[in-house]
Amino acid sequence: MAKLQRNAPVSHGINKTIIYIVCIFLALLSILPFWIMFVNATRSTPEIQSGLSLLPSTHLKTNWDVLTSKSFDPLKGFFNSLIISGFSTACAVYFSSLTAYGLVVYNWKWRQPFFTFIMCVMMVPAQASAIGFYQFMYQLHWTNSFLPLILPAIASPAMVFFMRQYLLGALSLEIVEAARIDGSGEFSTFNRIIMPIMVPAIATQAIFAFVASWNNLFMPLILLTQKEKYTLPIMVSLLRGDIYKTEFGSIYLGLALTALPLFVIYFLLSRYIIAGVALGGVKE
Amino acid sequence: MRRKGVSYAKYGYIFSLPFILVFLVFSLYPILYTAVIGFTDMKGLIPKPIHIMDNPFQNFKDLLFDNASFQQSLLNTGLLWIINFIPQIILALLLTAWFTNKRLNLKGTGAFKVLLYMPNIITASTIAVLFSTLFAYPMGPVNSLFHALGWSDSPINFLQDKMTARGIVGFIQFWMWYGNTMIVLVAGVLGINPALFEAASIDGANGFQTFFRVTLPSLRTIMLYTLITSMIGGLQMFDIPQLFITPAGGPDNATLTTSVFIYGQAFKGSYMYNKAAAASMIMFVIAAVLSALLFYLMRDRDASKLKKQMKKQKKAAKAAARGA
Amino acid sequence: MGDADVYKKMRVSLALAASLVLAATGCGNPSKNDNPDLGEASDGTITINMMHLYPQAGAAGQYRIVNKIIDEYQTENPNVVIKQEVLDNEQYKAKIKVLSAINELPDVGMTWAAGYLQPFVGGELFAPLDDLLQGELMDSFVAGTTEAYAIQGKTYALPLEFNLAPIYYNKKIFEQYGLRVPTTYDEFLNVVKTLEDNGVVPIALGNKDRWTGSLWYMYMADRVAGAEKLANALKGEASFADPGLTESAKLIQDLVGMNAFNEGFNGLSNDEVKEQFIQGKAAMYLMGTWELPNYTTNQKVEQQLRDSIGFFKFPTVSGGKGNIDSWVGGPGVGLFVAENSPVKEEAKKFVEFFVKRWGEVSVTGAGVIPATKVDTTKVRLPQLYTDLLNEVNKATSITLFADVQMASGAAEVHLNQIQALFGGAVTPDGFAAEHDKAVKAGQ
Repeated sequence: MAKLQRNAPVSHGINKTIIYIVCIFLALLSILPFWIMFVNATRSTPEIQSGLSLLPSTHLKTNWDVLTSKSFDPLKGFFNSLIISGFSTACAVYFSSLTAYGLVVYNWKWRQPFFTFIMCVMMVPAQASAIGFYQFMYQLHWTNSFLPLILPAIASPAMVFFMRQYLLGALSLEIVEAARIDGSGEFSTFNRIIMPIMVPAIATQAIFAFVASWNNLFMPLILLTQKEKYTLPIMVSLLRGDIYKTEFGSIYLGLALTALPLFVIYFLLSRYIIAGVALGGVKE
Repeated sequence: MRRKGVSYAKYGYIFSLPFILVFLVFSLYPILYTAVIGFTDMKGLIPKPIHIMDNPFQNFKDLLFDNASFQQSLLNTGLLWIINFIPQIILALLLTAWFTNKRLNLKGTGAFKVLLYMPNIITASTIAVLFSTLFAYPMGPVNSLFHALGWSDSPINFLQDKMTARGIVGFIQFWMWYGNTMIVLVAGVLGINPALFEAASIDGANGFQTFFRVTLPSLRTIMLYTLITSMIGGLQMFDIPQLFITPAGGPDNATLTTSVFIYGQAFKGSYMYNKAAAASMIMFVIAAVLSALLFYLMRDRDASKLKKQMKKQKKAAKAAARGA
Repeated sequence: MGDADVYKKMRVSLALAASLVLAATGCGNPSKNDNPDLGEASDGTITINMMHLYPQAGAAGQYRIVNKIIDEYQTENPNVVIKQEVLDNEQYKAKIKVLSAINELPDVGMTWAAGYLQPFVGGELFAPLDDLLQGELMDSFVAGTTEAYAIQGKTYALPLEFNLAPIYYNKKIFEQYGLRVPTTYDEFLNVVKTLEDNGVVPIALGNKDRWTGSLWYMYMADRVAGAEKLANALKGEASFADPGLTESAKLIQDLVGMNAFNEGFNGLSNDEVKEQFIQGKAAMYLMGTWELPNYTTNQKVEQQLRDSIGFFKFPTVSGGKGNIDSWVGGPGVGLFVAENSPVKEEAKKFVEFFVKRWGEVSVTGAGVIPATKVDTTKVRLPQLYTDLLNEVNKATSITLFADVQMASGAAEVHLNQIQALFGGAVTPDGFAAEHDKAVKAGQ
């Protein structure tokens, strides 16, 4: 035992340095494309086409002018995207937790088949089932509305799967029993006691769901028809034109603007993942 | 015998109701539609009447045995998944071990966690453009770098060579998702009872031992999630292979994944929806089989042993009650 | 006992859910054919949905014209409201595919000719527009343009754009090295060699998109084997293994071997090399007339640069069957009317109006050559336009771009083969064989 302690500091030191080097390398690798994207947003189109650069240039204002002059209303696109992504994330997170809780805590006859069913749903490739979905929406005349982009999120099989696995590992039934004894109804137990326990899981999945919804180009493209409802990614894709010169500078600026809110959301939610507070288990 | 308290089973149904309703309305129809189409001869834009084929499984047979592209795509999907996933899970586990190791007490883990997840935030199309620029031939940055380092004497056309094309696509997928996997695992670790860690450190366990004996086993449920979603995600790999190398499919179909194949069948050429649907169903079956396998391998052996014991006991009790 | 209640409740709610779904589908279902009033409101306003691919950002000139024409029509017909949906080229193609798959095409939309058009006609998605050709628009189209939109004798869309592909060249560079416009292929090779010896990139080519290389091949094939042979091969009535056609493929590879194209051309996109040409870093550029605005009216390009661009026709090959007035080109996008549109008659009227007005204002307003004949004496145009428009009138034949003409499956094979040919990854014989196979497959 003593031997272990004596060697520990030295090997710790070397280990730590190696670890730091690896992490810093990975961090740089991860940031690289972002950096390039942001740098390109400040360069002019000819500069961009002449090669890659790690240093920003001075054309931010010109790119911005080009962007706004082309009836690109970033504010409108931003709010549309925000509404869609915000609500769909909230729906997905809440109802998935609810369903997962139902799968873990209660012992009902169709529990296992239902779970297997959810897993199966996850496994169907998205491309093929898309057509049926669009056809259905068009028949309902539910085009040019945010609803078909938000409501389906209530049934998110992958998220239910994650919440279930998380609860299986982190939840002990004693808490629920304790709450029942205290006279709490099932729903209020869920909302008041269980949801806080699930915060790391919720934060994680919320980030993923928000990012996925925000960056989703195809589905809003098919379902929305009027300019005023277009999301940010759709607007950025409209910047491309092969008739005249493609203004790469403004395109990169548009892309950077699209990514910016994601950073904000991510930074906001990530402290729930960074925080070293482990919220599982019953206090003994 | 007194009934053991109130049964809360009904809440299981109630809590799951919203999911079921929404699913029925928005997802069931499209999926059934797809499944049925796989058995028909539907193709082209807009049905002339669709018929179920004489041999309902004709499409499936054709795809699996006669269609070289589909077979190639299965191979590619598997290859790309291996290139992408093995490094990903190893690295993610490693990082999780480092970042949750209280002993190690790394500074700045918060910042690292944030930075390493970032690649997941950009859209695949942007990444495709950025990486194309990086690996441009003849004088893109990577080529220049290799040249400067003396690793190659003439520019390599990364996107035209089968092996490098696959390698890069696999790398991009890895790069996009390893942060995501790491975050999932870290979230899982945060759900482990801290008392376990305290007990381990009191017992004198070092970093390795804590990780392998305490963290990993407690992470089993989350690991299962990671393995299954990565597997399914890998089987459905689409964005990068479709966008990064044009024409989609890469040099000699080297980066043709099954989802790219399905998309191509449905939306290019002569719109063979029936083949696309059949291929989707095949992929579904593969995913189901592999998932069942994973579930089996990762089952909680103690819990299932317990279940078996309880079943035996019940049976014995019943037999006793009847016999006696 | 309590459980029985729960189950009963469950079954009731499931039944309700199911009926909700059925009701929803039922209510939303009246297909437009059964309910012709859908496009016509009770007060008699007719709404026409139009989808086009001229976003303000990418195609400002065309966007302005479209809006102008729509405003004019709405003023003349106060009971008509026209709703626009605008997407860029790629998104438009993607969305139309999905819309056609679910039979929800807009009343009026844009399409391309020949091979692209085929599946839509096969699915009976477009309304025949021959009656419009008999009316005001009779005889106003350039020869060959409406034919490209006709299948089995019926015309399914009216073309808006018309494009030719000349070889643009930089007059200053030619002057600098004492070069004259080549009229024969040997002269052309001479030009290429001289430029190369002097360190100038002879030809700008971005073949990543593949259709750019296809232009080169098509002209070569036209000049060596003749326009008719090429057309027949594309239709499947002749083989690509014809000696003239394989010879053309070989000539292309010879040209590549001479380093006639910029470095890395097979991996560069068209956008990336356009700059090179217009900045004077490459001497020649084979491209469509849609580029004309950049060489004439586009204020964003320096006047000096614009003034230095001219064009010449693809030279003839000695011993070849093609003549110098044979062009590669054809109609661009055209307007269709959906067969199942509830406002078909009104939509047709609108299309007729649109095509006529477009023809009158597109050259001056957007620098785009319309498919309707332009009277160069009546309109004041930049010199390049007038010259090209006069060439159009002299043309002996116009062969439509291969990747538009062929069925989409075959077109894809063709494009991939072009890239392989330019990259030296396939022999001229292999090239021919793959083409024949694809055309024969018929899709």
